[in-house]
Amino acid sequence: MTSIGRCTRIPRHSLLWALFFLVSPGFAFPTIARADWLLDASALALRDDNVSGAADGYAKADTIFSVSAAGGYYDQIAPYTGLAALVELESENYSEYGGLNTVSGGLAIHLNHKFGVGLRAPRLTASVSYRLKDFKDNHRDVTVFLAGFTGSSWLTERLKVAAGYQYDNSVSVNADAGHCKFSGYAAYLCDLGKYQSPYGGAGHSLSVQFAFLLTDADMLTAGYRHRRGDVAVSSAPDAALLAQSSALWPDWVFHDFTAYRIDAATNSVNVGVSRELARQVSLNLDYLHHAAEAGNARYGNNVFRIGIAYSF
Amino acid sequence: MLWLAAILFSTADAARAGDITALVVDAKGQPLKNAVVYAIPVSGKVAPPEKGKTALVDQIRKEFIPMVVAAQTGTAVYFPNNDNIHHHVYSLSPAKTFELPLYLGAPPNPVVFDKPGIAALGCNIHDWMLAYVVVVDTPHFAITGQDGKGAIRDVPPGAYTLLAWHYMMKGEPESRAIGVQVASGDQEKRFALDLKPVFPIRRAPSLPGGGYR
Repeated sequence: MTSIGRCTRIPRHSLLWALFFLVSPGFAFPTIARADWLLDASALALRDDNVSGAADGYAKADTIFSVSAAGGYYDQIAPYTGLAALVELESENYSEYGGLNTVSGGLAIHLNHKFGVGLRAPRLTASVSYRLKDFKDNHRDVTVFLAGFTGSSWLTERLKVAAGYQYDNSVSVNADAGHCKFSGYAAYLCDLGKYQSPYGGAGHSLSVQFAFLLTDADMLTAGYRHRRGDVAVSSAPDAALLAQSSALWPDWVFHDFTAYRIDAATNSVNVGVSRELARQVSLNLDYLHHAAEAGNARYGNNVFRIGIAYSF
Repeated sequence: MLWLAAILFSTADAARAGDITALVVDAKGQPLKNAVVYAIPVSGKVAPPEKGKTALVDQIRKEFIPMVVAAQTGTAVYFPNNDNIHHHVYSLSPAKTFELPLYLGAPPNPVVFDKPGIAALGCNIHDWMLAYVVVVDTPHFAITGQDGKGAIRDVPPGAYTLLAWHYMMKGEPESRAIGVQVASGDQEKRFALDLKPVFPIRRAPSLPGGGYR
């Protein structure tokens, strides 16, 4: 949290250099050249009833189209240990609130270890990733760092369970203190030290996910996540939110709103079904519900997603 | 004259050998691919596998090819890796427990399947990879194709027990054994198998992501 609000700008071309350094060893070293090339891709349509992340009464719904791809390589560096390095790209397009349109790109590293042989041998994966989320509304731009680990195992031939921990830290790219050159109410907020980007923050999450094979082609998924940490909430100016928030500034997408950063406990549940359309392609339908609580305030959203996923 | 008699005798013997064609279907009459049909002599007298007789399970584009291999007890099975990446082939089945950790190309030695039974194969890296080695106490076996038919060729005359196995079948092959008397000419037999659902690991991802990395 100490980094929130700092004037930080990540040179965009640094991502390209990172991509170059990630991929180039594959051509330089035979062991990596033998690695397993990976490509995961998905195309989704989402309906989110609260893209503004607002309290009841202020929620704004939108339909979002998202495409994403992650490519890289996987190398089995030891009999039970593998390392994956991926470049991740994603684009989100909002039907109504175009300011939320996002292009993001970054890098991810996953190190996994399997404790034994066979399907039921547990697997532990440690992951770190770093990406830039570039919004059309530049005020929202952030870099996102994720680190965590997940343990997973098939408990039976049909039921897989995964549980994990994740730390997330977002840093606003456009937290320019120059915005404080205001008078009146804005100047008052500056004096409070709160007039800064609310779009960064950190959090810790614990999650558990289940996958159950209904048939040889259909999979039921369900999960729960608890996160403690910062969330960005957009709302009409609200004294209680002002008191709770650690940062705020106007919302340039929802013009009558103010965006607040508050510390909240967020509980999320998800259920979904996934049908294998081809050996490497699936059709997926799922529902996610997020509920954030901070003091007496509650914020939630419901997301329905339908999409195609592919894995090379 | 002796050599002429030997040729005449062997020719006559081959002429008496017959083919057994088995049709394997499910309870609805739909043909079943990848079923193994095999004929075991009632006499129990079985020749050992031909010297040098081998079988092969390949690995291509992160799949086992073929999915089902049948072999006589004592057969050496090779597991070449034709991908440009590592595989880690294993079987935890009682019929044959083995592990070929992390290799490229051809492993130095084949795996000898020295007792009858079903060995389910997996790759410890790519969980969806699945194949079966069906080890039987007879050289007389065949694997069914798309039409559900498998032809066992040149079966010497005599009494046999004909069995069928499929990876989705309920129960054991012995519960549906068919007695066959092989003489000259072909025989056609039909197996209708009750199937149970099986749940191989999917290769297709769900949301979000997944897989082995």
